[in-house]
Amino acid sequence: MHIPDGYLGPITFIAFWIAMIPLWAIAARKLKKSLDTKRVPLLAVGAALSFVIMMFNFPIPGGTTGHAVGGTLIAILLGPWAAVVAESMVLLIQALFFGDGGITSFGANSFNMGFVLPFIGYAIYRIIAGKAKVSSPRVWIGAAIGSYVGISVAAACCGTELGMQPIIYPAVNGLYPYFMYSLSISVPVMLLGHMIMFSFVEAVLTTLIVIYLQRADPALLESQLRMKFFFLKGQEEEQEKAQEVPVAV
Amino acid sequence: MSAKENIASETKPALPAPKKKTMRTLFIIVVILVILVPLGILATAPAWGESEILNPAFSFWQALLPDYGTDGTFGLDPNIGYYLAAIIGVGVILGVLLTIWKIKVRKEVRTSAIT
Repeated sequence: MHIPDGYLGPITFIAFWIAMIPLWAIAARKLKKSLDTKRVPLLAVGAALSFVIMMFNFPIPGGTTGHAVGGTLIAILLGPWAAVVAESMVLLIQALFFGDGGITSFGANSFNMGFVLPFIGYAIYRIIAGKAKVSSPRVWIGAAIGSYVGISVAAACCGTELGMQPIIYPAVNGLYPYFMYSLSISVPVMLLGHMIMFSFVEAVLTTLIVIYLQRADPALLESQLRMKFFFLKGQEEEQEKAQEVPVAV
Repeated sequence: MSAKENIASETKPALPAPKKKTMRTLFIIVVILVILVPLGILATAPAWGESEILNPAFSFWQALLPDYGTDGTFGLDPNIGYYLAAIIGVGVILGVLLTIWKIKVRKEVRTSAIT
């Protein structure tokens, strides 16, 4: 899913840089404020896991490459903003050190894998898990479906960005200056390529780790499940309200 | 919830640290994946065979270990190169974030010593 340099024209890659700058700023502020020192090693191992899992990648002709990412897992453990930071850091190292993913397209890659993927994955996880107990199957089912859908949507975004290029930058003398295949090719190959393969890898990895944690370290999962997330109220808040009521009566 | 926990949650949202066992398991998963990494070597070639016609103006950046060390840079065997890339990547990520962690721990110890 890493878009190399030269695949996206300036209009597209500049737009994604502009979109990502405030998101990085928010993510950095959120982490500085709320990430417990005790949890920084978890962020480190999560990012390392994400880096290695991405090395198991396969080419998708008509798109870029396919691989699992692990972004939803980081969001489940530490929240979606932590995943933005972790994935962006991983992508930066991949681009600078190993030439995987471009420098100009770093904004777009961070948007797809570092923002869309964990936020969609985490939102679905939270909606399905709801107020269920940590030991409930709803928690791992949420993780499975969330991680599957999160990476699939990210792949579709990547395909869309690529497929827009021949529209924005048509061929000159029969040669396309940037990515040359249309949306009708790039979106299906990226989306289906992931849905039949890499999204499953992502879901299996995420689900196995979540099932393990449901048994081995439920407090870790629970603390993140209690956090407020947009319209999804935190359980902690609800508990406080429930405690307030009898006092008022 | 015990009274003790209640006090703790009033001052700061009670966020439990991951158990040592959790950290160990996750780290072992990373190590296993690093060991298996040559299995992922298949796809380091660009997604496009014809990638050269994609704007050469953009080849301004020379990566340290292009294609994760599988393209013969430094005369490395692709398998060794890939291992090296995995170890460097994991090492840099853990190195940077764990250094930040150490600094934060030291800061907290210092501030708690003052108060």
